[in-house]
Amino acid sequence: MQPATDAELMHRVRGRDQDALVELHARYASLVFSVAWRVLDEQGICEEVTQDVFMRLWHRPEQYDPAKGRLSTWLMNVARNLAIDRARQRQSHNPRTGLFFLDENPDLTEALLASDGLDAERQMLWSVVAQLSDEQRTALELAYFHGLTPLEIASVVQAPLATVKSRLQRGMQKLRDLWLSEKT
Amino acid sequence: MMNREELIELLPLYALGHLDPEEKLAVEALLRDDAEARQLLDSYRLVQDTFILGTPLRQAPAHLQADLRHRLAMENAAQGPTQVTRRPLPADLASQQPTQQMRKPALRSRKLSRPRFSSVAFGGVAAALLLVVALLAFLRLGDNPVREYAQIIAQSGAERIAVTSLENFGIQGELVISADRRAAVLALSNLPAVTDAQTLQLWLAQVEPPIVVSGGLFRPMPAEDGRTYLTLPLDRPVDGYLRFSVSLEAEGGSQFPDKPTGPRIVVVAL
Repeated sequence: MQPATDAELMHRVRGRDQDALVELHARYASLVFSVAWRVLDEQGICEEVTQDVFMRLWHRPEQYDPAKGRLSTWLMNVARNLAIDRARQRQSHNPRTGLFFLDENPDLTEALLASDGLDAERQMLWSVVAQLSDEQRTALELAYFHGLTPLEIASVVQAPLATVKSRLQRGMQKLRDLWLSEKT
Repeated sequence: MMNREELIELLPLYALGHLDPEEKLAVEALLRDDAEARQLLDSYRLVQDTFILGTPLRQAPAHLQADLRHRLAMENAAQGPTQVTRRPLPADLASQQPTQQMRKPALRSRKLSRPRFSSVAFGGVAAALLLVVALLAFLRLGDNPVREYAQIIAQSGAERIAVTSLENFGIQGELVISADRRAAVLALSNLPAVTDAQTLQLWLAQVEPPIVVSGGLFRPMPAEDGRTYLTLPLDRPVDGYLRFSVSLEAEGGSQFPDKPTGPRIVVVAL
């Protein structure tokens, strides 16, 4: 029997079917946990963030709009936002950079991404991100995975604010152009 | 005043949420009238969302799935039709006000605005926190919860949610919410016997930001009707919370600022 699609499971979640939520958890908890870990690097809080993401899906399933993308990437982005909120609440936060695609277990990566067809997209992202300068990549990592403002990034990387803003702007523009050209 | 080209240049930072308020307003004005700019912004957002795939992947702990089932079961227990019922306030209930001679529970002020502790610093901070708790031990939250309860149930449009406990603790009671949704009182009966080495702790789970905060420590202090009344220390309307719960803790309360250490004995899901 074919496994249920995400759309089918979401339909059941909207109908208050707890088993459907647990099945989505089995499918995507590791992706969500990975994002929390990327931001927070603290087991207990990462576990809480992971559970909060799925409880949010349970309480507010209408917040996910299938027209705007995959459920998996939506869940990961919710996890990122929640994790950044948690990071801001901590007294000390030491944002780490240079961690793109540093998977501990390639087999796990393959297993986690294959089911949703994300592996090809991830490969493409890898080739695109590799074409950014180190400075642009670092600025984007700090802004995206840690929610740092340009001023905060300037403090972390010891660079003028205008330079940081320029790195973010140019980095995003380059990413977009490369991404669209890869897609076509 | 920036021209269109300059505003288009700002779109990447707008997508990242990193514009000054003035720049943000200017970009939003452009987006209202410029379909091409909106399309460009969508493409930046698409790339940005895809960025998440660069996350290094790791396996989630196996116990999380059982934890999720447990959380769902707890909510189910609290929300099930035989256990939690929402009903409009019958007009005649207002006449059943408890007397004002009832004692209010000794709810200790231990509300934490937000968990802000790193694990390393937690031990020291927790000790300081306990000292603060001791200093505040005789402060009481809520002027008179019994009176507040009576005032709330007298209001047209108040809501009452029946509550029963988890794990066969046998607790019963109700949460009453004022018509303007800004005040709520928990009335609980059959709370477990609490030894000197134990305490009860109230928890409030917020919707945004999605965190859990302590609502204070208390001990069962039955009023004349046998129920313990608690005024919930709300800092927002009730709809800004996902649930309220009570846990049984060792004296001094949970060792965590944002979650119980002991078992939850009551959960009221909203």
